[in-house]
Amino acid sequence: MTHIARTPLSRRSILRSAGAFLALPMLDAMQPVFGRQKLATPRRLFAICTNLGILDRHLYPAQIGRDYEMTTYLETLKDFREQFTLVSGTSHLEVAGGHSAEFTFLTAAPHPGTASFRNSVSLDQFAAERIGHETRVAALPLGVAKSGNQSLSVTPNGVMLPAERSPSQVFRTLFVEGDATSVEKQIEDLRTGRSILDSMAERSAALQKQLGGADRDRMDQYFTAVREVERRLLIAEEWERKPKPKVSVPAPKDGEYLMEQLTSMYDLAHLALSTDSTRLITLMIRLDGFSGNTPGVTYESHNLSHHTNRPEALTQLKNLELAEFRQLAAFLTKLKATQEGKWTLLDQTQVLYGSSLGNANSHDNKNLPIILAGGGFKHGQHLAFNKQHIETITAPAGVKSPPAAKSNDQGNLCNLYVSMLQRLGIETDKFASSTSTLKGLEMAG
Amino acid sequence: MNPHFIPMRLCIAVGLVVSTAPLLAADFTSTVRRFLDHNCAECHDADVQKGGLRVDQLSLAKPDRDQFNQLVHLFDRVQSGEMPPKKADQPSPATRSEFLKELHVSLINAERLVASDDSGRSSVRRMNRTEYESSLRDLLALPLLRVKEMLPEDGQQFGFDKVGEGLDISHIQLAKYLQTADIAVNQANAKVAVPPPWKVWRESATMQNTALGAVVQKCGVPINGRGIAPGLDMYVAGNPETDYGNSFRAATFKGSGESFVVLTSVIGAHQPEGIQIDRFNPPISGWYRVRFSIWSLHWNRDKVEPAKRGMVKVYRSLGKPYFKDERGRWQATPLPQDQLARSWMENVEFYGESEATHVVRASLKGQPIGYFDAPSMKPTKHEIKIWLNPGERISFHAMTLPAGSVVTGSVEGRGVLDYEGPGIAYDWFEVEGPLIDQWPPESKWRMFGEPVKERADHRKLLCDFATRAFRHPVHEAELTSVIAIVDEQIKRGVSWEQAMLAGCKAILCAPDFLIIGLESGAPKPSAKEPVRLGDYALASRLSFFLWNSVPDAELLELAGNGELSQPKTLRSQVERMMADARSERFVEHFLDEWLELKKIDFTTPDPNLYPEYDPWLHDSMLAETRATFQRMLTGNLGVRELIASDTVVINQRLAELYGIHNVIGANLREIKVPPGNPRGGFLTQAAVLKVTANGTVTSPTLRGVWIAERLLGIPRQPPPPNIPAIEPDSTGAVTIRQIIEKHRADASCASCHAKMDPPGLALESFDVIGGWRDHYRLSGQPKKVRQGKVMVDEPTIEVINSAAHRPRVKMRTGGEVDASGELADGRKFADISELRTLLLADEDALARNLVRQLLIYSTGAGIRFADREAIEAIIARSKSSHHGLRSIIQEVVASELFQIK
Repeated sequence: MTHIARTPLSRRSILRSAGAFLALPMLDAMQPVFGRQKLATPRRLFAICTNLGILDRHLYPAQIGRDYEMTTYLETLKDFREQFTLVSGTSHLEVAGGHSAEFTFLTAAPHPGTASFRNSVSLDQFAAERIGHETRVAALPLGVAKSGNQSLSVTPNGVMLPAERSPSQVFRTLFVEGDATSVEKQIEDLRTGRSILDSMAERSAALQKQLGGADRDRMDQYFTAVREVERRLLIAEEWERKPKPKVSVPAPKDGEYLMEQLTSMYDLAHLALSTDSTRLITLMIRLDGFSGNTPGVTYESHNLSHHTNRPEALTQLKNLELAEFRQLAAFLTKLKATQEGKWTLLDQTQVLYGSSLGNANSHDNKNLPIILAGGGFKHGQHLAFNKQHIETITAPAGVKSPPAAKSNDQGNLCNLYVSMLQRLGIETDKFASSTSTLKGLEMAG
Repeated sequence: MNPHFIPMRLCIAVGLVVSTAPLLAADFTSTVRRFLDHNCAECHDADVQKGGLRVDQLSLAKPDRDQFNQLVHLFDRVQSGEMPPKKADQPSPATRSEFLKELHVSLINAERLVASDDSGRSSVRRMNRTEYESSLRDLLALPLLRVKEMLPEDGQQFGFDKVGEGLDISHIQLAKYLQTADIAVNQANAKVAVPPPWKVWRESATMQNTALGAVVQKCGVPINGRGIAPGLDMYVAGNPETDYGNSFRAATFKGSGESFVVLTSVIGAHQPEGIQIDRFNPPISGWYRVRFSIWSLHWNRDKVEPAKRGMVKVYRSLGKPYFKDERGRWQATPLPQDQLARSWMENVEFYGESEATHVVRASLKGQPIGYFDAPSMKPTKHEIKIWLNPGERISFHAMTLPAGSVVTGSVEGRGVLDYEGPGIAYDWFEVEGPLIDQWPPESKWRMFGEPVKERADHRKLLCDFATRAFRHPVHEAELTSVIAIVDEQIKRGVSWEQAMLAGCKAILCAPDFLIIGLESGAPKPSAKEPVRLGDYALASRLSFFLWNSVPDAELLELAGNGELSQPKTLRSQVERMMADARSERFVEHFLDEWLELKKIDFTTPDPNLYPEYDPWLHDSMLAETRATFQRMLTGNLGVRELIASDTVVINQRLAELYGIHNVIGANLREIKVPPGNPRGGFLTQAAVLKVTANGTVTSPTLRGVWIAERLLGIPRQPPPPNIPAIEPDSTGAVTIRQIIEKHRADASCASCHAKMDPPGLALESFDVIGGWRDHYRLSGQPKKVRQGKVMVDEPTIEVINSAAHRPRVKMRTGGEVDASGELADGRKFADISELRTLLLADEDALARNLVRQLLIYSTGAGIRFADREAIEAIIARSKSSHHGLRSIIQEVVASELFQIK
């Protein structure tokens, strides 16, 4: 087995050590956090992307800094004014391509949508590599969509993780205990799975030796994937033997309408965070195809986002986005009401809310709408990185609007991501195209 | 689009030199260097750097990917005559040709170095999820197995999900394969020992729960002969005197009827599934034959009349006061005389000129099965053979009826009894099956052998299964690790059957199954010569090209005999494969990727701007594009059909959109394009026009780029950084032409937009759903506008509203469409017809593009500079058939590019 010599440890020994080191910290971490003394309260991240932009005229105030006036959308978050930061004028370097930028909201990989595009690791997966082993689920990619399983989470080798779209199913996995036989059956299945993987590893290792060039790279990918699944199945088997956290609420329903689905996803996220089942969640809200059943909205969402200045479309779009903001506010309320030691869950959870489109009507990927709530920062201000953008959108009606904002004058959104990673306790000063931490955003306490 | 309309003679002429060229890194020859210095340096040196190009920095001594790409671009522009620019001094033809010849050789050498890859033109690759699903279906004889949606979406390279670099293998992917393989083998393994009996189930449509649901909604009614069947009862639920808001008129039906009449296309928000065959539940997964009888009629409040074009009328026949009837239920008082509440002319466009035929859509889990005609007064039997799983029910929707026209709510409204308008009658439903010709089913003996025997030699069975899955003969020695899994499980006391399933699962997760290109053994690295595919690898390349799936027994047998790679055999196999139903997968998937038809649902047309858009049109437009491509394939029609054709393949719904008369019914058929009608060819197909628009507005730039890239083979240049996108507006304030004229005015924009926009400009005559327009539609209600001293109505057009009770609506119209333009080379066109003529001037260019697309799709590799010669050879050979689609495919398969790794 010469191929193994290329890695410092043999596959078997990796498996052995993985099993050993995984078992101990998890025993501690899988307990519900309530009512227990913990040495340090864990820090968490929840990143949300609503994929069709947010009308900036209803989001951003004209004022910059702490003394800004509330806007239509921010009004829904007024109870949290000191617990969130509004960020304007940032984007990802070299990310254009309209809707294609959905794939890079948390990765900042350049040139999505082009023939040679390759994605890179997302914020949550970057963190999961480092802190994911501490919980039953390393990271949880969720999705609300009419179809497909697109998520915001991307592995280090550029593969998108499929989003979980059924909250009831995730609830079952996380909280519903099987009986003894079904647990044993599950473990038996995992074992069969592992012996299949063993045979696959053997075969791909043999093939690796015979192949060259790009063919060999393909097979390397395959072999690495086999090992990775093996490692994960082992962890899954360990967890299968441990009791799941008890929750006293019924499983969230898999709703049909947009707002039902959103409520269920936020409820699920709250449960997963509060039981420490995971510390990293992403939520991709793909609005495309949803129509009606949101008060004041009858058009299909994608169509609405191409409002082309139709007054009725602008009104409906505002109603839709307001409804989304109300959902966010309800979620933040729940986080704030959940006590964890001397902190609230909101203090411990960074909630990133934004969109990969700065202007959906023109498919612009600059000046992305971004809000960061909770998680242990000094909040309460509007950080603006492209002042001209704010002047353009907040120019009073009737006044001749200033020239359109130059979109190249942009803050780097990855700098915010570095700040977020550091606050999670991860020692890094770099994420994707970052140049520093986000200027003006400071950690609290 | 200039470069590719210049004949490529030069390219063929210089090709001869290539094979003898030494594979060494070398800088430009002195001829090339001199040409660059004399003809290019003035604008592209350190001082000027036009377009970011500096020829003084170009070198092939240590070529990298960027430099190489820049040089190919430079080569193309010099070859097309675009560079040096017209106003500059021109090199002599001899100098130009000498330069191109020598640069060509250098580039081919450089390409091999840049690729620095000894694995050949293409790399081995994993199956994409479409191929994976079809392969499992074919291997396990499970024709409608659904696992595709469980797998992550595949990455694209060069526009297709068939290229190695785009098809990563991750742990996610592999973990999902474990799951999907488990689902597949368990579905293939029939668990019951004795099959359920073959039965014929038949019931009246009136018996179905969904029909009774339509009765409750008061938009459906059971009939006997030409009148209402006895047993229909109506009363007011709730107390209208004290709580009017929560009261409504309910209807029930207790009795039996011969047929069930439905009067609206949407049976109410609570029953989106339409009328279903809901009293039959398939006992097992399998094939069933489903028959039903339908016809159409004109409903006149309580009686059936022949379907006709006429007025739709809604009456009011009840009013206050309310009273309790003899059974103690609330009723409303009949009015002394019926009042006509509203009336309108029927949606006549839906009908033929002479007879009225309505159309019903059958669907399963939201996926259309087909569209079926319901002629006037003539019960018509239809039959479908379909795979059903337990719990699945077939739904029927009356697509041509108005929606929401019948009054279903309110205390007074009597629904059907107050309605006059078109209706569709369902007589009965029949389901025959499961259609079993053997038990255990074929899917089981695909894994366990035939006849299925417990404790048979599992080693042999696994080798047989692996031979089909791995697409080459598999011997025990290669399968030891899989056999070990089964042995170990049997030893532990797991049942023989379960252990075998674990073995089959392992085979379906093996790299030999999932990775295409290993069939003739692991390809050996070779830097020098292109490596020919072995026969088994060739069989797989063929079958994943034309069937999206594993090769069948015949292909494997020919590969085993070494006959497959014989030109004659290959040719006849391609014919056989294209005639096989599995080739529909090629048509569908190739078009999904090439023409981006898979993005058809990416946007939904604004119902206020395009109220006539409906699901029937949506399904029809997809079917049209596929059928047209299939027609080209079957008839070996030339590439010019992509741009222009005297025939369209349409049905009633598309005929209405295209303004073609006398096409009645749901079936697609070939129709000669009437004189003066702009249709014919892919450019003017509704599906193409829809995927290139966004549901609200069209952009000549986006459409133009799409056509250039997909149909004409002109690659797009990326937009310069930091240019804000244009902000669309449909309020009538500015027109799209005004916006893009700004592009043309700015020289730095114009150099690219002059190439991208023109075909899109000609398509401005077509709206976002593919309809013809002379004026743009505007949003908002029609208003009065001042004209001189008087107020007049704004200009409007009237269109059908498919989704509301007002069947016709007035749409505001704005500026006049101007579809004229000028190609980059200065040739002008006034409209789509003139543009067509210009595009048809170079059929070779159309063929070249199609060949390139097919090569990427079938070989899973991008087109290299070195491939150009072989591509020109393919085009030369297909020329005698005017580049017939079938000939092109044959020539692609026969070419070296297809047969080398």
